[in-house]
Amino acid sequence: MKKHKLLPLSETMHYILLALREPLHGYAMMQKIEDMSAGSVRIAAGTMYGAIENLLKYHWIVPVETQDTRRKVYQTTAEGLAILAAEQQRLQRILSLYEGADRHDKV
Amino acid sequence: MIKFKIFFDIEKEEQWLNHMLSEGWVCANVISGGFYTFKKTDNLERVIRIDFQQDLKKEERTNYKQLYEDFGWQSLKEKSYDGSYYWLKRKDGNDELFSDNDSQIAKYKRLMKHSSNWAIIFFIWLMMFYSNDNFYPFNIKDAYFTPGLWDKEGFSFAFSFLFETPLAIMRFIVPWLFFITFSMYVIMYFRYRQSIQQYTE
Repeated sequence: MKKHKLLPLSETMHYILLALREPLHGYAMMQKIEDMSAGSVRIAAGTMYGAIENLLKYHWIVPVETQDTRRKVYQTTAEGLAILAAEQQRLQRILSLYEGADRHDKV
Repeated sequence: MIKFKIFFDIEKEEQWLNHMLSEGWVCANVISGGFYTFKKTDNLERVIRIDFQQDLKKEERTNYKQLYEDFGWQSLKEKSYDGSYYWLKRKDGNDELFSDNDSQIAKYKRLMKHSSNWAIIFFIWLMMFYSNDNFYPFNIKDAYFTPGLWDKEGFSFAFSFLFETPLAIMRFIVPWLFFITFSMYVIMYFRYRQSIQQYTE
């Protein structure tokens, strides 16, 4: 199988997909991610805009209807959640290696 | 104050605008075709960044601008015909438009694609207008093809001259437009390579 262009997920994409498990607009996403990462990840405007466009293209997030007519609000789709689940497995295997597990062990 | 300056390199343009700002001149408006207006300012703790987005539809543009404004950026240009957007913000330590390498590289890629599209269009145009024995990018007189035009006088001259002027301008300007867009492509290609190298080193 050909590797997807956005996989493995970059730090930016990872945080956005995780943050958008609840509906948020761009700026609120940045704030939430800053919080989630204990201040270590602060996504800039251009990076946020490009990431949203990219994730929309692959239907990993979708715009959702809200009262806010000025700002678009997005949420992670079922496809996006499936990507997160696959990434979780991949990262868990790596973490288990950090913790000294044998590489043949089941995670 | 109005200034005229042509840039091949968007990064140099950004540096120049920030240099003007550091000397107390903040860019108030970017008029197309290389014209900029500046206002005197005491507030030097600000930063200007240039972004490039190709072909935003009206709704996409509203959405794009709203997002940047939410992040504290103020637009210096109402409408963009060429895809460039100029942003001004108070300095607060988060003064870049891009926070990861992927998105920085993607900007150069958009610029590269844009300039190569134009370079190809002008190249085709150039091929349509040019033959080997006529080369007129330095002297606009050579771009007039009417035989004996410059020996004519009075009404006869005025008529032929005005009739051919639009064509002559087109012939004259196309090699220059090709040269400009091709140079922009080459510069953006190097910026793109550079950003990839930074990423992998």
